[in-house]
Amino acid sequence: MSKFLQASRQAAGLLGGESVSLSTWAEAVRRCDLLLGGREPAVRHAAAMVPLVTGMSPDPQRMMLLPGLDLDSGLPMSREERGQVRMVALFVTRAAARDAPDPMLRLVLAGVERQLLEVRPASSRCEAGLRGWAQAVASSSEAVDPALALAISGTQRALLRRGGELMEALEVTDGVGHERLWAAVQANRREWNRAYDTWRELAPRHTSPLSDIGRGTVALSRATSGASAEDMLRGLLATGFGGSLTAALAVTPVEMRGESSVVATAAMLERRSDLASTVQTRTRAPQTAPSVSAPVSGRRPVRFSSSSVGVASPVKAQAEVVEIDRPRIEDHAALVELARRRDAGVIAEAARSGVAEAQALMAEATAEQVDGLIERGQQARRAIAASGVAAVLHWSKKIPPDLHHQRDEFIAQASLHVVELVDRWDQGRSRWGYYAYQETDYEFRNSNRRRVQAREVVSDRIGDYASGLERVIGPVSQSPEDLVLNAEEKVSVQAMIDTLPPRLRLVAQRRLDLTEPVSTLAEVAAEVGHSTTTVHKDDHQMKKILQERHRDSQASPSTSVTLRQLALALQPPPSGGLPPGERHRLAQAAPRVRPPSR
Amino acid sequence: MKLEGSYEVFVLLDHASDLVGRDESISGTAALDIAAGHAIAADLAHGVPEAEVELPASVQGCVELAVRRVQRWDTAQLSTEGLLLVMLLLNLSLELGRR
Repeated sequence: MSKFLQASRQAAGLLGGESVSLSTWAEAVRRCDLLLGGREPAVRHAAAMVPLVTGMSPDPQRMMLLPGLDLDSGLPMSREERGQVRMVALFVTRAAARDAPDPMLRLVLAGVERQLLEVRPASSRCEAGLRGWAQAVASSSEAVDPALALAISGTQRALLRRGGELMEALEVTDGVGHERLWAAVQANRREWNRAYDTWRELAPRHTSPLSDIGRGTVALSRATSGASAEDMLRGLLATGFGGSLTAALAVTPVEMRGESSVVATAAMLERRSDLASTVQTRTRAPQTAPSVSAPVSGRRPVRFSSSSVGVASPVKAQAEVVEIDRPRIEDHAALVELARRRDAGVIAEAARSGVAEAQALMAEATAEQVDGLIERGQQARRAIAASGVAAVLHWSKKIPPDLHHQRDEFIAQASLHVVELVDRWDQGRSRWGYYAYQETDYEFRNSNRRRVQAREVVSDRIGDYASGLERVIGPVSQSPEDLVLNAEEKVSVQAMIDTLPPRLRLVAQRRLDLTEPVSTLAEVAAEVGHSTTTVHKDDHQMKKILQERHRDSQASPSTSVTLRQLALALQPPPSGGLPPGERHRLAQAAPRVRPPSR
Repeated sequence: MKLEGSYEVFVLLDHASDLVGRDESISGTAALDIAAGHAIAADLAHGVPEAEVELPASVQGCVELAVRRVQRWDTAQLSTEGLLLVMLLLNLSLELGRR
């Protein structure tokens, strides 16, 4: 039996057993790394994370040592035994992650577990260098002082900058999507810049021997030099951008991690880069913040006056060369920038209209600049509205294709609604994508409700327009044959209604009332005590059943002559009718003629 | 072995690191090389007497001055770290000059 089978089984048992303390996890992965001689990269990484993880959360629980892991390190091990030791590390990590009280701790342990699950080695020298950097940071986390924090911040800042550059040239096609990942990279990069400045104030310039962090930075620089863009970006994705979360936790004091923005943005980046691994060359222009191709410039000072006498009308110079990119609905950063331009345009318009506060804000602007701001504001509005059409199209797809008229009508109405929304959107309170999807959802529901109401009104008033002759000349008397036929049909319909289940029968009697005016759905709902929607469904089901029964009755062979045939046969011949011989010939041909259908 | 001018190189790279955050035209690769060069230079300058250094206003200026300093070093006498620093600075100078 393998030396580590018992340890492997006991570690697997931890998954369904009592909670696993962090000290148990730390001791287990340390022992596993020692037994493997540091040659298993994933277990080496797990062991390197021990100082960081155990420093994150005080562990009052007792340490438990798994049996079989206390063997002397350096003993020769078979491949199977190496696999079992790795499994021990994996099971213990999973159990510790399950019981970890801190969400940030769970995130870190999940990263360790993910690496233990991966059987492939680092795909490139660059990725190996990034992993080595993250391990160096985690190993040094207990002894981080301001100088080391400054060095870590400088390297992490450079990695995030490189990541941002690569994402402008390459597109990440899986995970949470390129734009969301890009936004997370930019946010984290800004925070690392701030962290560097903060630590710079605390760490004066001084020389020092090469630390592990310094060696890690040098090794990282050598590993990434000459790496292809694809390899570098894949390496960054595989390591959470060089272990940004690990570095953020290492440089931030434990008591400040809850409020630290560098930790928060690094955690967001860790989550968003988790499932991303596929990159390809970008086929479209990078969606950075919208740019103005020709900045509006002018030297003429603006003059505000309620009188237009003596004031030259504003020249719309260069307005036609102002071009703004059209961002997608999920491109939050670009849309926020557009919203700012929209707001600037609103202020400019107010200034031109004579609003004192706006004029004070625009005191330094020339007339051309004010015109330019207004024009750019309008273009920003159009760009935001254009991106919102994606939300309209999303909801329009829920209308069945055979109702394409209604779909087109909804798209037209909702698109107009989106244009109105642009001015109401507050970029500080919600994302444009979320706001537009919610609002168009309401519009979609309103559209459905309006359609149902319109249908009901038409069905209620259908009798008013059924007969144009009646509207013109009043009630038209019916022939005896029609009266007979109507009476017969009423009897047959009533017979079919009587066979319906009681609930549907009540609806049918109200909706197909043969003697009284037809009740509306709302009236029936009020009478039976159900909602209008329920009554509508019952109405639909009732009609479906009646139609099926009518079809069945028509399909059954009948040898009897229908009343309509009888009536036709009883009709007097037309004046100037046919000669008796011809009439006799038609009478003989009559059985071959298909009877008129109702 | 104490290298002449190693403290000046350290100060120049330290200042370049500070300037990187404000200069968006510096690539991530160059920023990483500056960080690595700074770590090596801090090690080489450890224990070397401090000296007054004129600080340029740009990253490129700092790197150019540092390159001039390390070009005076005898490469035959340099340690592995020293050689690595020279190589990094020459690469950096080339990259920043290409911009």
